[in-house]
Amino acid sequence: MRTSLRRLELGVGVALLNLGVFAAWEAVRMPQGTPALPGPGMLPLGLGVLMAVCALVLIVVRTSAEEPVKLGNREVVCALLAVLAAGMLWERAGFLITATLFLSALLWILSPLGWWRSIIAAAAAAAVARYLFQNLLNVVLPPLPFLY
Amino acid sequence: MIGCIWGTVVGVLPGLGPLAGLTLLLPLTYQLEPTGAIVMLAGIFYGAMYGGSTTSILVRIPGEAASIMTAIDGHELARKGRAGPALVVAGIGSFVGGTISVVGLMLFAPPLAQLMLQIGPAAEFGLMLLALIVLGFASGGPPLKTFAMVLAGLLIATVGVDLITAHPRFTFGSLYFINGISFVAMALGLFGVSEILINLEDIARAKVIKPTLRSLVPRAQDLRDSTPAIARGTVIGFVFGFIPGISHVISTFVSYAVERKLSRQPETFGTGRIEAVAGPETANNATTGSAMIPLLVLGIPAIPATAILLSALQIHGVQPGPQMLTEHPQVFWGLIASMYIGNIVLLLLNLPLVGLFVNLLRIPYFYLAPSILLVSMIGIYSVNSNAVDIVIMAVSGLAGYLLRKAKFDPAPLLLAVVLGDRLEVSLRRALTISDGDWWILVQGAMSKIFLGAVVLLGALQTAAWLLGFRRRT
Repeated sequence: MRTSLRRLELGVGVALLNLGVFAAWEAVRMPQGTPALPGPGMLPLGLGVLMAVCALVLIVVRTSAEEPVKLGNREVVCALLAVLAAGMLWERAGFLITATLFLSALLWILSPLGWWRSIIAAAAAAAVARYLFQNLLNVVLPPLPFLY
Repeated sequence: MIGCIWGTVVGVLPGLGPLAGLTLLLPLTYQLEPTGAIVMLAGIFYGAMYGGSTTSILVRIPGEAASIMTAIDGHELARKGRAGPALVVAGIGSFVGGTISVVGLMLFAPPLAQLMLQIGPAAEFGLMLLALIVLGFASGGPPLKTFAMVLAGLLIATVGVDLITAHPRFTFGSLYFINGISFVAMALGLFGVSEILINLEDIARAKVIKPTLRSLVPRAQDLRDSTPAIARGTVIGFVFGFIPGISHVISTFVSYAVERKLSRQPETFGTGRIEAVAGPETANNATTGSAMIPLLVLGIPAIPATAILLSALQIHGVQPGPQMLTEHPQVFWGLIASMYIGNIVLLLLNLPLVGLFVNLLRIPYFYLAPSILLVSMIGIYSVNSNAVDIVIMAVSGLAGYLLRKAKFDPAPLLLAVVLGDRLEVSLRRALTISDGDWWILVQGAMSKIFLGAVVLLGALQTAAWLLGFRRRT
């Protein structure tokens, strides 16, 4: 996908504005304390307001020149989705299944290996990783679900 | 030894700098006692600084940002068949710079710690503000973007239970957010995952120049030319290491510029000059010792990589700061001893094994990227045994990718997350002591110095940006 730096900056500015407004909105409901004993809401409220003002200035001023930006491709999107999916599956499906699925998907998409070679390579790599980290380095990894 | 080897490997591999290397191995140090853990992580830190030069010289791919200047003349030397001398001079320079900066760390840290023991909450607040503003000053981007990143980092730091009243903030009733957002997951996402995503956009294989062992021996003229550059690089690197931000990168640019300025043939820079390799490589490694001073003495990480070291120390129950020298002297002096040994290990390790490290570059990126991501996920899961951290890492990776594309530097955000708690607690303690009188923040001598520097730097930065902005428009 192609976009421009200014448009991207505008997007980040809007996201920061939302973050600032949301933080200030939430912070108002926290105890503000007194000048002598400031409460937990004082700093988030101040920061939220400052963040919103700063984001507004960013949106209006926009510091960069107009230049094209390449934003993501199939590989980037797939890698990101694969990490997200792995995070969600990690404890439900266990390490071996999650790692095999994760590596198979990425190898299939990124490498010239076919799908079945990707699955075999991924399963082998997941088993090696499990042995290395769990048995040799004592890292506790989630077990297979049917072993609970 | 493991830290040095791993550090060299991550330094050699493009897209994996010291920060990613540290975050990847951090969870594996939990089994070690604090001194062993911090020694290993410090080994990764300066190992990565060493390793970055190898790919810069042989492939013209800087393994990390601090090796960009080395790539210019280093690779030109390699193309002329003189990769060996360039690697040896880079190794010697790194060794000299690294070792002398450790001596500086040893000399400067204890008296500075004594001085810092005397400051109260108001001065500490000023110091935290100063650290954030210097960081913004050094990050090089427009101050508005840096300021936005600092504010975002400070806001993220407020997530979790309030340290003074135990009131939950931005937790949305979830137990996960009670202790705040995992710093390591965020760091790994913002820097490690985003770097991999950027590299995935252009998977190209570079042509590797492989030197023979015999060709490593430099000529006497090479050593004569590089000795003054190494001396200057050591001083530049050590001084710049104190500056929070991207000091290790800036020091290499300054060293290159100084060497060029002092050269009798400045026009030949860029065509393969040995001084242009010796100076920046020495400066790069000389920052490692001085960058440890703000971390160990003030508890302020000067660069994102030392923020991971700070996190590691805290996980092992060691709070960096002025008290560290008295409360955990074995960690402090153990670290210093390890830095001396580590520099020798790296010199002995890097030169004979250069061929082996270079072979790592032959591994196609489409195999490397999934493996790095899997190891990152294992590492991040082992911190809290919580899969939500992997999701946080992915989301931070996306955020880091977009921020970098939009030319926002995520380093100030990360460092603000680290400093946020101390900034807030010191401000609130100072206000409680003064019964709500804000003037306490400018009453002490140290507070005046810190806040004066904040105002001065802030004004300078804004003026410089406004002048540049007006010129552009």
